[in-house]
Amino acid sequence: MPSTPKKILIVEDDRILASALRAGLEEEGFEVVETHDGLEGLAAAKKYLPDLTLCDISMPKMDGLTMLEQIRQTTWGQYLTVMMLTNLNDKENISLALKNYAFRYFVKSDWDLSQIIQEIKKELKVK
Amino acid sequence: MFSLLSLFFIISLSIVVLKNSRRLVNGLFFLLTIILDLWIFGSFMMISSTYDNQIVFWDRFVYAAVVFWPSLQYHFSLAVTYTDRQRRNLLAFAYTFSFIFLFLSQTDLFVQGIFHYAWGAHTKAQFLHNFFIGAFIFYAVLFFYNLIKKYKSEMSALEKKRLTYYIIGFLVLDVIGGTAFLPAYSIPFYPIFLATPLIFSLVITYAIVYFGLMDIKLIIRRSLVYFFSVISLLVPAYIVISYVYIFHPFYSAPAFVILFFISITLFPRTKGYFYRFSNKYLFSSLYDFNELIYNLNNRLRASLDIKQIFESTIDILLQAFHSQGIAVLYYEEKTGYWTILYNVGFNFDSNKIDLQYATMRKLLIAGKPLDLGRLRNTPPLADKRVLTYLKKINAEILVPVNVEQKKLSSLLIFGPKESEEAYNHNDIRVLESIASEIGISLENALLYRSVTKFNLKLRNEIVKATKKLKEQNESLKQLDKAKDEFIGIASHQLRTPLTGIRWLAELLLKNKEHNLNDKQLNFLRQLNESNQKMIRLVSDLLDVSHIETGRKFDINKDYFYIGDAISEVLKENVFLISTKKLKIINKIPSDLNVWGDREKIKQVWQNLISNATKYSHNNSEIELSFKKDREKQLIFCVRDYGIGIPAEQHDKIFTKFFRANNASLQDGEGTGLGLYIAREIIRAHTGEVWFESVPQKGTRFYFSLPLLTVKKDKKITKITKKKTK
Repeated sequence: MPSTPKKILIVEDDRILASALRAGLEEEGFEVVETHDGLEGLAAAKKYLPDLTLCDISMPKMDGLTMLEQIRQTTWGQYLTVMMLTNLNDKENISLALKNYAFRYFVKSDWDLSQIIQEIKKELKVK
Repeated sequence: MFSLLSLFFIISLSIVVLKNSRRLVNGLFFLLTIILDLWIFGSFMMISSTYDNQIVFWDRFVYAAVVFWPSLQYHFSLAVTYTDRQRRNLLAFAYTFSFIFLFLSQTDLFVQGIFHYAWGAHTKAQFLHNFFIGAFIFYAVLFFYNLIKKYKSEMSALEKKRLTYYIIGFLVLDVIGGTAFLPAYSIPFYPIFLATPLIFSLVITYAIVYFGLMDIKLIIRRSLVYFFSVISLLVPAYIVISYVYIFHPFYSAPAFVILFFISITLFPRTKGYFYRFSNKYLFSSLYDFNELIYNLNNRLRASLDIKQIFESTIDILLQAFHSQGIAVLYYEEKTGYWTILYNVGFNFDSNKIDLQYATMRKLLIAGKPLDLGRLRNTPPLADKRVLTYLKKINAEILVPVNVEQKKLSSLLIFGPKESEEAYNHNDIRVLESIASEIGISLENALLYRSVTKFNLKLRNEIVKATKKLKEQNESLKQLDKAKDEFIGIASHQLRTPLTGIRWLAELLLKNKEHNLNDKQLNFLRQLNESNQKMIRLVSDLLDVSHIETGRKFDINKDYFYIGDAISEVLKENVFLISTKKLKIINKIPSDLNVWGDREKIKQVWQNLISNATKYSHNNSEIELSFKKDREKQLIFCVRDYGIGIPAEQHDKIFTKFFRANNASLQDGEGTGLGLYIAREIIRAHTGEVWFESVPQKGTRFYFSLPLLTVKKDKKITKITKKKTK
């Protein structure tokens, strides 16, 4: 367990998925902030400056890609690590996400929760 | 002088006539001219003789020829009036008489002694001479009787004109020529008879030229054209030369040369002009028979359109014959009328002509052109109204056009020629030949028309059917698109809750609180497994919908180590592999570099390996290998020793949602999409997927990927080097 827990922001409109992610991450000792749309997510990101953001794409109010774009336009958000987490695996979405320096792009249903957490740990260099 | 000119004309006339000795009339006419020749020649010699014995000799010479005059003349009249059959006896008698007098004329009982008079001398007629004169007059009267009778009964104006010229010609000969007998009875008379052959030949030549008497034309026509061409060039040239010679003698030689060349250059044009002139006004039959037929055949062959067939034909015929009128009538079986397809120069009172079909058939029963001008006797049962009508419109030639084995289908009607010359033998031959050609073309055209009609009908049907099919196809396409969209959306929507189940089951399976018993955990595992299958199925359906909507795949090509991807796939399938105790022989090096979409290619391996695993027998092997094919592509192979694919299902194996019979028995849950998707992925990489399979022995699945790049793999580079050496 790390001495100071890493902060992870979840932006996911599906409450079940969000809570599953939260549960999984909290079990691994992360500090988790859970939000359910792009606007909330943007506000939370600004407030908490998370070590890593897991962001869905299709969401109400503001979609994930717009949110990512807006984060990248702020001074505080330029270097935030963002992983896109979605079920939309088409070219346009992927390239849009990568253009705005999303760190990774996961197709949710293809991944086990543990695999995703593994990837997060790898990124945040947490053992 | 007169006599010599007469002789010359008569000789040339006889030659001309002999050239066309096809018919009896021509032959007889030739013999008559021979007699005239002998007569004039003998008479001339007799008149210019001074000794008595010479006079007697030449006179007997003349009589030897002249005795045949009555019989030949009479025969000629029969031939011209076509009544020869009924007068055999009189003719036979005439010839017998001529032969008897041939001998008698040489005796003293015929002529004896000399009668000298102011302009010559003649032997004196004796007892037998009177019989000869009697027969001469008798047959001359019969001759004119025949001709006049024929003249009166003749309907054709043209034939009447011909007869007129015969009558005038022979009247001159018999009456004026007859004066040659007067000195025999001691009556002195100026020998004007010597000029009669000249008058006769002029009259007959005129008739020949204008009315096609006895089918002669070639020599007269050509010689006249050349004669006038030469004269029209020579006369001015002569005048110019004379002028130059008189006033500028120095320049006469070069002037002559220049004029010579001018004349030579102008000659063809002059000749052409006279040809055209004579074509139009003198002889209408100045055409080359073979060339005409050839041209017509070419035109006829070029068209399948009925109207065009006749138009092109008529164009040529008008140029050849210069007829005053040409019309084409087409018989409409439905209405029983003749429709005018084409008409120049005829004055038909209506567009549909009522010529009784049966009568026309009877008239034209021989299938040959009918010269109404020469129609001897109308066939029995022929409707006179038809002939009256044809006469009223001034038709001269009727040409039947038959189709389908002598069925009269059309009529070509020709009016008189502009030159008023009659249609000659050649013209009729041309028309006959043309009629059969037109018949064939017409038959083709009619056939073509019916085929076209049928085609048109067929095409309409096809257009209708196609339109219907198109509409159906369009609605099917829309339906299909809607289906694909539905699948796409549904799959997306399904994925989220399925992910929820997956992750939550995973969290539960960790059993952090240790409050789940084994049974519960087992249920959870099964739930998870079932959910995983569902996720894969949804994923496959999503792929299919992408393929079907034409979006194909989003292929993100890059270099990747294919061996790593294979290892991942093997890891994912490790459960089934270990359950079935399968031995995996992987011959693919982990550092083999490949150009393509890593995730998609991995999916292909996933599908192939999971199939191989599913259908392998327990404790058997699965072999993964690759080879390089001609430096162009890599061929990968997944080999199993499983149940194989039944031969009859080989061609369906890549079909969407298809599952081999034995496969469904082995594994109840497959979707039948795996191979379809695998092939689509490989094709999107411009590769191909294929297989070899023997039931119960196993299956080899192959797929190829194009080789585009330098390989990091040392083995491959080595092979490449070897090969390039």
